[in-house]
Formats: sequence, C-alpha cells, structure tokens
Amino acid sequence: MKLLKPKPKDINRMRTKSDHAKNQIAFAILSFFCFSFFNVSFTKAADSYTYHVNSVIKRDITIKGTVKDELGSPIPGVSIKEKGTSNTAITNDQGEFTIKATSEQSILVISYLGFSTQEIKATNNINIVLKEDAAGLDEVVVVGFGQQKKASVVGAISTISAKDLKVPTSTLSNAFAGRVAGIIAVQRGGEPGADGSNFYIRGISTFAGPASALIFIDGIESTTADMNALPSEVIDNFSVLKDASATALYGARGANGVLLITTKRGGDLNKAIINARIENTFSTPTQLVKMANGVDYMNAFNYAILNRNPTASPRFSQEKINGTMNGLDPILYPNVDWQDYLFKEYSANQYANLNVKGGSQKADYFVSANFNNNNGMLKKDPLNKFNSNIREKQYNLLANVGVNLTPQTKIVLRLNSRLEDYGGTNTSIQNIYNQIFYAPPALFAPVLPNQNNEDYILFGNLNGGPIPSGSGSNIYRNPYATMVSGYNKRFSSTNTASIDASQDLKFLLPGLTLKGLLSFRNYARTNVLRNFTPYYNEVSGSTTDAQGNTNYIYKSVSRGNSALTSTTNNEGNRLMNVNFVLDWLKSYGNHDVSAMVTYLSREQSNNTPGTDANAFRNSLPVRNQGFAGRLTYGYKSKYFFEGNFGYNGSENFAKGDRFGFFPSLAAGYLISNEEFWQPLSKVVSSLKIRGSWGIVGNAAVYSSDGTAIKFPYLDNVSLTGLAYTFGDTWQTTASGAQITTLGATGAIWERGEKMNLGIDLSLFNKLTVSADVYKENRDDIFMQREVIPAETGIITINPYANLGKVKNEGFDVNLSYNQQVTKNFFINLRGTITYAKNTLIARDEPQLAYPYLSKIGHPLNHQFGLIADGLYKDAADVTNSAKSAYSNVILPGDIKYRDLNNDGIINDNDRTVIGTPYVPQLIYGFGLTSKYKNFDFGFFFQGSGKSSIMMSSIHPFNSDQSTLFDFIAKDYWREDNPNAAYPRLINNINSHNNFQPSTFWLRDVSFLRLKNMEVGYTYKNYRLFFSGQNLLTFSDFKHWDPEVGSANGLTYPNLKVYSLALQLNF
Amino acid sequence: MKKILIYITLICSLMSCNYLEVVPDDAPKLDDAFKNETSTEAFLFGCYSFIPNYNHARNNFSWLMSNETVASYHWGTQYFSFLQIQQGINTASAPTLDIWGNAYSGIRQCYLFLQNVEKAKPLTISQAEFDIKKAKWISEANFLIAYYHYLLLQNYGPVVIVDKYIPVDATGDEFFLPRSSYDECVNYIASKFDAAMANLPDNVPASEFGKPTKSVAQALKSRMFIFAASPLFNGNSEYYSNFTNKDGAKLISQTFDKEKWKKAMDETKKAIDMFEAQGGKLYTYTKAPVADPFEQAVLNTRWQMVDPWNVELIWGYSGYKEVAGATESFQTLAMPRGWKTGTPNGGIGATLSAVEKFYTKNGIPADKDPSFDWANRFTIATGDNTIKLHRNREPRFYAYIGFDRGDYEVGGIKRQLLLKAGETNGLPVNAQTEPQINNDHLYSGYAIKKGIHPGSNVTSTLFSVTAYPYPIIRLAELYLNYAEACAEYTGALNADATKYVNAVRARAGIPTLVASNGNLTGTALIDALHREKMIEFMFEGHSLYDLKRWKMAEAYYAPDRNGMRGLYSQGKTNATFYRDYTLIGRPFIFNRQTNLFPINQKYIDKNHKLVQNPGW
Repeated sequence: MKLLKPKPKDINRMRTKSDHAKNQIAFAILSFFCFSFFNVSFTKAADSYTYHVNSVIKRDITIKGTVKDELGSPIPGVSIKEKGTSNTAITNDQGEFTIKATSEQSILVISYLGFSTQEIKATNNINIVLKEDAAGLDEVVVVGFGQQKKASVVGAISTISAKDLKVPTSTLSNAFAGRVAGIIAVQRGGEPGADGSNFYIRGISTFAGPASALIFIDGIESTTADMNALPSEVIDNFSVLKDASATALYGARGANGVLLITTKRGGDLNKAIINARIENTFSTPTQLVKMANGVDYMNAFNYAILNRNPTASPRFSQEKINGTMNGLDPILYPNVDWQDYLFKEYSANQYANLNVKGGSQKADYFVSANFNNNNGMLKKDPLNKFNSNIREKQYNLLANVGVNLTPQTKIVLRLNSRLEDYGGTNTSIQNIYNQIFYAPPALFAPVLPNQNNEDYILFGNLNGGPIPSGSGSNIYRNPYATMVSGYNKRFSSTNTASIDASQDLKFLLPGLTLKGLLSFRNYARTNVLRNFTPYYNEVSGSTTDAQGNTNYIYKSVSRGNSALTSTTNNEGNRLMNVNFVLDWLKSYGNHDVSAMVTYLSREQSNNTPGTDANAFRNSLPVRNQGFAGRLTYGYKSKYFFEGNFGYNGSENFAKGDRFGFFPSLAAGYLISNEEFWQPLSKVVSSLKIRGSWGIVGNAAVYSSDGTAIKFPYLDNVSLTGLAYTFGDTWQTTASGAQITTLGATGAIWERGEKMNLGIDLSLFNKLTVSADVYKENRDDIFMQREVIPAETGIITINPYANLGKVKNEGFDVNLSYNQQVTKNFFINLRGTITYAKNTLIARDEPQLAYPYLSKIGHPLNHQFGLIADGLYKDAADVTNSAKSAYSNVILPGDIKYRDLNNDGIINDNDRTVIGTPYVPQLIYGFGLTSKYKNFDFGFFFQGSGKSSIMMSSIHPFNSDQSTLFDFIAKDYWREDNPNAAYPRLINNINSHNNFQPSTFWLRDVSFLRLKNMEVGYTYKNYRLFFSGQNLLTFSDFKHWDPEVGSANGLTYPNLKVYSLALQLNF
Repeated sequence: MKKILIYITLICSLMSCNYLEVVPDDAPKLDDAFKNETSTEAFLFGCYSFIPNYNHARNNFSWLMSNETVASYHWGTQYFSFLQIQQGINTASAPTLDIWGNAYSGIRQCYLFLQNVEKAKPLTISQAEFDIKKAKWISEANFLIAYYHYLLLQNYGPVVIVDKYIPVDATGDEFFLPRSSYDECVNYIASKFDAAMANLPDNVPASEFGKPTKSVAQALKSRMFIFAASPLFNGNSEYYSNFTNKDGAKLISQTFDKEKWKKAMDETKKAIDMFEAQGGKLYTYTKAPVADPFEQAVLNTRWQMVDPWNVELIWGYSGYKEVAGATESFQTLAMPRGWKTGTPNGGIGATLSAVEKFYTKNGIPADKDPSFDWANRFTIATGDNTIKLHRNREPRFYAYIGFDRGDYEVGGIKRQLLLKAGETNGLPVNAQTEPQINNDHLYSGYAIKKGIHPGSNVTSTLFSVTAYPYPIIRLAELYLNYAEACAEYTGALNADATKYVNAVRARAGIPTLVASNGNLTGTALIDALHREKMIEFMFEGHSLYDLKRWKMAEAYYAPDRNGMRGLYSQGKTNATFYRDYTLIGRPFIFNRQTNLFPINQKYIDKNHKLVQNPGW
C-alpha cells in the first residue's frame, strides 16, 4: 500500500474496501460541490469530472486496469474518468479499477492528489504508473471566499495539512511555531485553558492593539479560543493568508493576516467511515525556576543587612539558622519550597475524538465528537471539601450536513458547539505565582497542625506583614492559603450555526454561481467564585508534654471564616454574519477568466454590557459591512494575473470616514510550464515566481491600555466625572461633566501597504521550496497623540489620531522533501523559517533630550534600559564614576551604569533601546516523519531566536518581603566574589539603583527545542503511538523555560507532555 | 444578464445604508453639561475637584513631608509619597506627585467652564437672579485658575502662565508656551486673585463651607507675596544664576528687592483686616470651662486644628471626609496602635527633632532656657517615670506630642501611652520577646496628638474618627507672616506685628516674645519668628516650604541624611528606650535641587519651550 503523503487534501482519501462505484458517485458529487461553490479554479476532482445529471449514460464497454506508483505500489482511491463523459471510477486497495467507457477510443483521465494528472488512451487491462507531483500544482488551496488551484495561486498563502497540526496538545495554536511558514508564535505558559500560543502572521506591524490575525472557520469569523479548541481531526484545510493579494478582500480588517480553516465534509460513501482516537497524556513542567532553601535565604538576608550597615542587627538568629540547617521541627524551623508544596510534579489528561463521515447522493454528513480533559498541577488540601486544581473539560460537537435539493441547489448546515466546564482557583494562577515571589522559605510553614480539632485549616503566617488583613494585624503572603482558600467554577458555551446555500446560475450565464452564507455564533459564560477568608496563625513557641509530643503555641494573626462566600459573573457575546458570493468562471481556449464579488455584513454584540458608565456604549453592536471582489486571468496556465479589492465600512468611524477601498494586484509566472523549460524539468520539476502589491487595513482601534475604543471621533464625556463636596457636614456634593477623551476628528483605520515576492520551486519532484520575501509599510496607526503640552491641561484625555508608522519586513521559507527510499521505507523532511523584523518609523514622539532615548528606528516590543558596565569594584570606583540618581548610597558591588549623556548623573536619560525585542523575530522548525512497514517515526525541532527578556521582580528582600532565587543565592556579590552574577544584596527597599532595567538583567532567550517526537505502530485499522512534546530544550538561558517569556519565571510553566494514543479507522 | 441585475438588486436591498449608523444621538456631549443651572453648577464643582486632597495622609504634597514626622520602619516608599519626598527619591522621570499635570488639568477645566457658562439657562430662578449667580461662579472659576497657578508656583517656582483656553488643535506659539519668570507669575496670579475677589462673597453659608471668600483669595495672595519676598525667590543669584528660559531670560530675580517685603506686609495686613472684619480671630477652646491657664492653652492648641470650621480658619479643605480605617486617613495611620487590633495603625509618629523644637514652659527654646536641664534631657528625674525632655515644656508640646508615660486623649478619656517595645502602644514583640520591627509602630517612640480629634475613639472593639477640614490657611499664619515680613523689612516689629505674635503666643500659653527673650532684633528676631512658625504650624505641612523659601532647607536637613532622630523604639527598658537614636532606614535627604519640584520629564519632552528646574 502506498504511504500517505502530507498533503492537505489527503485526508479526504477514502481508506475503505467499499464499493468503488459508490465512491465514484460520491466523488462526483463532491466535485460538483466544488464546482458550484468555488469557481475560481478547480479541484483536482473537478478537473477530472464533469457531472451531467441530465445526460443519458451509455454503457458500451468495460475497461479494467491498475494504477501504481513509480515503485510499483498500488494506489487506492485514484479517480479515473472518461474524458468528455460522466463515466468515472475509483481504484480499490489493490489499485484496480473498472470503468464503463463509451468507446475503445476513449481517453481516460487519471488523477490523484500529489501525483501528476495523466491522460491515456483507454485499453483494457491497462497498467498506469502515476508520477509524483511534489509541487502539488493540482492541489486546491482555500483562499478568501473561494478556492484556487495551487498552480494559479499568486498570493502568499501557507497551507498545512491537518496531520501536521496533530500534536499531543489540545490547543491548535501550539502547533504553529516552526510548522507554519509565516507565523511567529510563542507559547507563554501551559496553564490548562490558557495555554494557547501568541501568534502573529508575519510578526507584528502595529503597536495599536493586539495585532492578531482574523480567523475564519468555514467562513464564519471566529476567535482564537474557537480555533484553539478545534480538534485537528475535523480540520480539512488550513490556509494562512499572508500578503495583500490574499487578504485585500478582508479590506479594513485583514492587515494582520487571515487564517482560513475549513472543516471536513462527508461524501457519497456506501459505508460510513468511522475514525476514533483515544489519548492519555502526562504533563510535567519543562523547567521551573529554583528558589533558595531556608538556610541560604536567612544567611543571605542577614548578609544583605550587615554588608550595608555593619552595626545593624541581623534579622535571623544563628539559632534559627542552625535549627533549619539541622532539619529540626519544620513548624518551628520552616524551610518551605513553595512551588513544591503547591504543585504536583505531573498531571494526567485525557483526550478522545470520534468522528463519522458518510452520505449518499442526496445528502452527506460529517459528525465529530470530542472530549478533552485537562488537569492542572495544583494540590488539593485534605481539609477542603473542594478542589481548586484546574480541571478543564471541553466538549466539542460538530456536524456538517449537506443536502442536494436539486443538482443546481445545495444547502449545507453546519453546527459547532463547544462546552467548557472549568474548575480552578478563586484567584488567577498568575496571582498565586506572584505570591510565591513574596513567600520566603523560612518565615512560616504553609499550614500548621490542628491541635484543638478546628474544622478549618490553620494557615501559617506572621504578624506585621505588608498586607492589610480584614481583621487582625497585617499579614504576609501565604500562596498556599491563596490557592486553597477558594475555587472557581466556570461554564462556557460557544455555539455556532451556519447555513450555506449555493445556486448554480448557469441558466443565466454559464459558470455563474450564487452562494449565500448566514451564520450565528453565541458565546456565554458563567463564573462562580467561592472562597473563604483564611485563618492565619503564628507559632510563638512550643511545649513538650509528658509523652514527648510537641504542642505548638499559636497566636492568631488574622481571623478567618470557614464559610464560603460566592460571587457570580457572566459574560457573553453574539455574532451575526451575512455573506453572499457571486462567482463566475470561464475558460476560452488558453484564457482562464474568473470573477467573484461578495457582500459581507457582520454584527457583534455584547450580551452582558454591564452596568457601569461604559455599559451603554458596550451595548451597541460592532458592525462591519462591505463588498469585496476578485478578478483572475490565466493564460496557458503560465501567466497568472489577479486583482482583489475590498470596500469595507465600520460603524466605529464618523459618517463619511466609514468606508475604505483596499486594492491589491498580483501576478505569477509558472516558468516550468513553458516549452523551453522541458529539458530542465527533470531537475526543476516546477518553478513559479509570484509578486503582489496591495493595501490592507486594520480597523481595530485600541487605547494604549489595550481596550477597544468605540467611536474614536467622538468626545468621550462623563456627565458625572468630577465630584466635589462642600459644607460643614460635607453635605453639599455635586458631580460635574468631564471630557474623558477628546474625539479624534477624521479617525480612520490603519493602512498597510504590502509587497511580496515569492518563489515556488520543486526539484527532482522530491524537494519543494516555497519562499517569500515581503515588506510592509503600515501607516496611520491609531494612537493617542503624544506631543500635546501638559500645560494645555490635556494630559490624560489626549485625542487619538492616525499617526504611527511601522515598517515590517522579512521572509518565510517552507521546505519539504519526500523520499520513498525503498518500497517499505518512506521519509519526509520538513523545515520552515520565519523571520519578521519590524521597525518603528513614527509615533508622534516628543522631542527628547537625547537622540538615543528615541524609540523610533527600533523594533516594537523592544527592551529599554541602562547599559551596565559590571559592578563597582571599590569605593574609588564609586567616587570616580557618575552618580546614580536611583539610590543615595552606592557601594562597591552595586551595578555601574554607563553615563550616556556624560552629565555625571545616572538617571533615566541614560536609558536606551537594548538587546533584541521581547517577541522573537525568528522562528524556525525542522523535522522528519518516516515510515518503515508498520512502524512510523517522526520528530520535530522548533527554535526561536532574536528575542530577549528583561529580568525583573527577582530581587530578594525587596521591602523585606521577597524571597531569594537559587541562582542569586549561589552567586551574589561579596568581597571575596567580586565578579558575581548578582550585585551587592540589599534589603528593605523596593527601588534601587540595582533594580533598574539594564543590560545587566537582559537575557537572550533564544532556544531550540525538541518540540515533538512520535513513534507509532499500525496494525490493520489500528494505530498505536507514543509521543512526547517539549522533550529537550537547548538555550543559553538556564534559569527557567526560555519560551514563557516571564520576567522572573514565576508563571505557570510550559509542559513536557508524554502521550500514549490509540487511533482506529474503520 | 437582466436576472443577474435582479439578484444583485436583491442582495443590495439587504444592505441597509443605515447599517453602520450605530451611534445614538443621545450620547453625552459637553454641551449637555451647560444645558441648565444645575448641570452648570455641577460642572463648577468638578473644577474644584483638582484641588489636591490635603487630607490624604499618604499621598499629599505638604503634610508629613518635613522631618517632623517619621513613618513605621517597614513602610515602603511606593505607598507613601511623603516617604519619597523625605528620602529624596523624587525624580524627573517619576515625580512623586503630579501637581503639574493636575493643576493644569484643573486650569483647563476652569477655562472650559468660563467658555461655556454663558450657554446655561436658569431652571427655577429669574434671569436676573441667575446672572448674579453666574457672576459669582465666574469669580470662583477665576479664583481656581489663580489658585492652581499658585499651587504650581509654590512647588515649581516659575511656571507657565495659561491665561486662556487652549484648543486641542492649536499650534505654534499658542500651543507651546514657555515658562514666565517668577515675578511675572506672581503678578499674573495676583491679578487673577483680584479679579476673582470682585464677585466672591465675604462669607459663605455653612452648607457651602469650603468655598472661597474674598478673605481666602486675599490670604492666599498675601502668602504668595511672602514667598516672593523670601530669599529663595528674591535675588537668588546663588542658586539660580543659570536658571533661564531657552531664550536666556532669567526665571528668578537675581537682585534682592527689599520692597517685596513691604508688598508682602501690606498684602498680609489687608488679608488680616479683611478676615477680622468678618469675625475671624484666633481660636480658643470654649467647649468646657477650664480653670488652669496652662490646661486651657493645651486645649486651645490641641483643638485648634481639628475643631471644624472654627473662627480661625480662613480656608479649609472640604473635598474629603476622613473615614476610620481608610488607608489615606491621617488619624487611622497616626493614632497609636495597641488599644485595638488592626487599625489604627500607629505608624506615623513625631521625630525627636520635632520634640526638641518646642519651647520650655517659659516660652524659650529648651536648649537656651537656663532653668531647663538640656544636657541631661534623656535622664529621668528621681521619682519620675519619663525623661526630663518631657517635663516643663510649653503647652503646645503637650497638645501636639504623645510621649511614653504621657497622656493621650481620645474618646473623651485620658489614656497613658506605653511606648516601649512589648508594651501596649509600643513595638510588638514575639513570643521570645524579640521586637518585631516589621510591624506598624511608632518608630521614633513618639505619637502625634495634633490632628487627632479628641472626639475620635478607639476601644478594644471600636475605632472611629471625627473628621475635620484640613486647614489650608488660618489666621495665625497671617499674623506670623506679617511679623516676619515686618522684621525683614524694618529689622524690628511694629506695634501690629508685636500684637500678632504675642496673640499667637498667648493663645499657646506662653509669655510674650519680649518677656521670654528680651528685645530681639535683626537675625535673632527673624530666627525667633521662624521658630515660632515652625512650632505653631508643626504637622501642618508648612515647615518644608518655609525652610525652602528661607533658603535654609539644605543645611537644616543635612544632619538627617543618615536617618532622622527618635528614641529607640526597640528598647524595652528606660535605659535602652530613652536615647538619641538615628532612625535607620528613615533618612531625610534634601539636595539643593529639591528646593523646586522636578517637572515630569514627559512634559519637558512634549513642550520644546519648557525648561526643567535646575538640577533635575
């Protein structure tokens, strides 16, 4: 049996021993669908078939034959068609077919995905050898509002097969990094339910808003969460639209790129195909940041006090340090590794998917059910009746049902329902991690033993901490108490329904089709938070009774409450889409022409606008409306031209400014189709050069704090914004109007001018290369005006304006190499590189005191800080250097900074852009899949480069509260350790010379990791496989996982995932 | 083809042209604020809201910023802006309080009011009555414009004069304004105060307490002239010879002009007369008869600040009513801990330098009074339970300061303060009786009584505060300002000045200036007047600004660079507790540039004509 190749349409292949004739009809119907829905170019099937329902089929003769590949393996599922008739057949598992033909002179058209289509004169018992077509020029690519044959695609579009997206993670976006050329993706943590990667198509070109791509699932605009929850099993096609040619149709909303996902459909199959997967995974953190133990902590703390003030008294007595060192009573001498105390080492998760597809001539269906159970690593307290660990259960149901009302009229109904049942902590996980930073190991035990049969947990604490408590003295942070003192139950549902009708209008004009799509999406979420106030106690001593039992003496720090209190909140939104597509395509000899025009309107409304001052604006719908169109022309399948336009409007702008026109032009030259190329075709099997130019917009306008702005052209007036009180008893109060933001006259969307030059190359029919270089000039970026003198009184109410400019340039390359080594051994090598470098060109920057303070000319998300020149060596070094404005007392061992302006003072005027930006500029990946007989093996490496983090919130004894990281404990400055990795310790301070962002704390977080490795064994219809994710990481940065991007590593870690799965197919 | 057109028409008919017309007509606009009398008046209230919250004990620009007070050892500078000022960590990139931005925002709001007020229509009164009301409102807006400029002047020195509404689309010279010289600012602000005074009332009814009167405008104006005559701004070529605009214009006068003191005298006298004509006088305690004159004086000075809207108050801050337990509440932060768990925190106390500043009962500085055993002030007299420093002091000492074994009057009863470590009001200790320095406590071993209303109460279960308006300006200040200006101008005190100083002293239960000190002249006289003011206005946010304008701050605060002074609150015995201790972690750092606040660097960047204050 010929092995599967990773091609997008591959998943349509039917692996059954079913009746071929029925399959043939199914294929015919499918092709008809393709024809009637998407006119621009044909599917392979459509190329091979023309389905004449009304014609009378003659059955004159029967022709039998076999289809094999170049190595002699039979190919099942190949479609055979008699040219000029509706006679079709499909090969069986042995590659055999039988076709009824009209005459002995018939021409058979043999086509199969991934192979070159052939036309052969019909003879009985014919042996056909199909040749591989690595370039896949006949494949179908999903483009905006339609499909195109890969050969004729001139825009920059990455496609990836669902198989390659199938990784042991329930979150789709985590498969992007390194696998999809043109996507910059980073996973910032592994918290169940929140572990999706941040991804940007061709990086980031704007600093207004999140720069996130537009996502469509089956033509319905969807959220990243919707996409992440989509099981890879249901995905039929995944396209990334990158350049203006591909995205101009989306006009004012397409500038950040578009993801198009189509889900699978059924077909005319005589027997339903059932596919199931059950998977069990174990996850464990890739790398946790390590904290110092209690002894190191106390010694360092005492040193921090004494090294700066030798006459002060140390905080911890030697008796306590010795007691901790000797492991005496852990309640009296606590030595807590909080991360270890709070979190388990691994968690187990389950995943199951069952999908069925089938159908008949009249109707087809694809139904999928998915269950996902993700668990966090948080421990449960034995005294609690509830569990605050994260337990996220996700259920996805999806049904795509097609009905052929008449041969010209088809309807598809799609339902996609996602339910999420989430249990977790009362507060955010990040908050718990943040508290770990403020939980030193040696102050108190997380929990004290109950001694008087208390029915509540006695949490450890100390009097006199930094946090005001509701009752009693101020307390310290006890992250364990925060974690187990409550829980969160959240239930959310997302339901999407769409009806998609198409009408062939050939009675009006041959090649004309009208398609309408109506869709509705509703999202609702209910959150119930329950928690109790912890009881905190301090251990003030202990007694030992006659039996030798230790009894601790407790002193209440803060009284709690064992009853749980609840708060509930809801959120939700709904989306309504209407879309019509009028399609026309026609071939006149060597000329292929198509035209498409579409109308789209969209309304999104907030179901819970709230009750605050913004509620009214929040209750207003967000609307878009517009036309888009495409005109393509192909000559002799060699020269391709394409023009796209979007004409879109948004309700968010002033009348007259609401609509914008976004054109794009593209051309392609398939040189390998030229006659003169023939001698070269053995080596260069296919070569296409593409180029495009266009304008795309981004109508999303956001404030600098990331909230969407409604109606930026209007003054935002709060009629009761400013209050004041008079009177002897403060009795006379009134609230007056306040302009909270000045309106931006003439506000419009940002505009991206995109240029792309690409090449698609196939060598020896084995290696395919697709490479693009691009450049984008994004201007009119929406931002709050900066250069308004404060003396005008306009300080926080600055109007917005389209003033920003960003240049973004880079390249992406996709490589794939297939080799059938022997009959039983097949390998595929893949690799991608994505490089995106943005540069800030303009941002209404104020006139700065020194040019190096400017952020213009530097990447977005850059790091900004001082340049460190090591540590001060001695007192003379301090005296002879510029004076720090950050601290009054500077001692040897503190960080010495470069005085960039030579004014003798180190202050904020000595900061500049340093290092590489936070969001990586380079993402790459490479991997292998191979198959030997029944075994398959694959691995994938993913890398990220040109990215850095600024370590902060790592400083120990900050205001006498924060804990000590182990890497600091191991290497801090002392007289005898002058070149330490951490400067001279200090305590009881939260702002210091040493804490300033600087090159001293800047770290390169480039990494390469073994993202995935998989070994599988196939037996009949079963495949058992074992896979691992994030197994190895190579990075110069050693303190915590380099990908999470955290400033101090205290965040829910990325996970190593081991999974064992069984796949069934019957 | 026809049918295609029909289809297209059909599709188009689905697209309503109004589909994108989502904005409702009734979205609030600025004009709505000036529709009627009520909303217009409410807008004026909003103009007042830019007055800084004088009552905010953590974040304010005057209260607690001198070396009179010290906060609990473990309080962090991020929550307590006064600590940033004390510790000199105010910077141009992260200025402590954005007085600049706040004041100019207020000015804009006032001009917005003046621009639109004519649109307003009366609701319940006749047009003629409304016109009178409107004239008063306009005066209030002008007063506020003057006051906000005054605030800027007080903190930044020469500032940018904004004399009209600046539209957002303005450009060039209309948009980017340079600073004016200090004296130009003074003249502009004075003219603005004068304009306001035209229609400001002489008095306001109780329901409008907190609104400005003519006296308020005149009093603030007179204080401004005192500042303008003072050495920091009057001929200060020592500090500010290079302090110029970009065009080279000097921003602070380089030659001393004695007549500025005369102007200050005259303006102050005018303010005094104006206020006294309305019944203003020095406050004395009259709630209950007191026989002992010393006791009377203690009560006078203990109640003076906190007795709401009393006869001495010219302008009080009404914008915030203090609430027990609130983190910005002075009484919550300062009232001693220990009588109740939780609040009050007992975290703000008086320093030893504040304690030493008070006179003896003879009205003489303690180190100069021969009857006072200054050298042995940290020892306890036989039979006594507290040190000599706490005995035989003037009434204000007992009214303002709570000391170990002294009394603390709240909730109508006297309680004894026990301030040593481990004692009721002292630093908490753990089971091993080790002092726990990271707890709220009076780090210097002294409590503050001034500003704590005796009617506020704390028991083991209850804590309440009686709120009062923070005194922005009161008569005693005008008295002392007049005397100071007179001494500066003439070298001696005239009859009025003598009367005023002695009135303040008499109210405080001490002999006259002459009776205590003999006939003082010149520098000695001025020094005595300075000390008088620092004692009288202790904990009222004056001393830092006064020391600055006297050009004395740098030297005055220099000894506190390694820590202000207090007793040793970790001490559990008399021997350890009663000693002159440098409060580790609580330095007071004052550099020459600190005389003027730094302007936020962001604002400098945005206005290319704006120059930074020297040294920042």
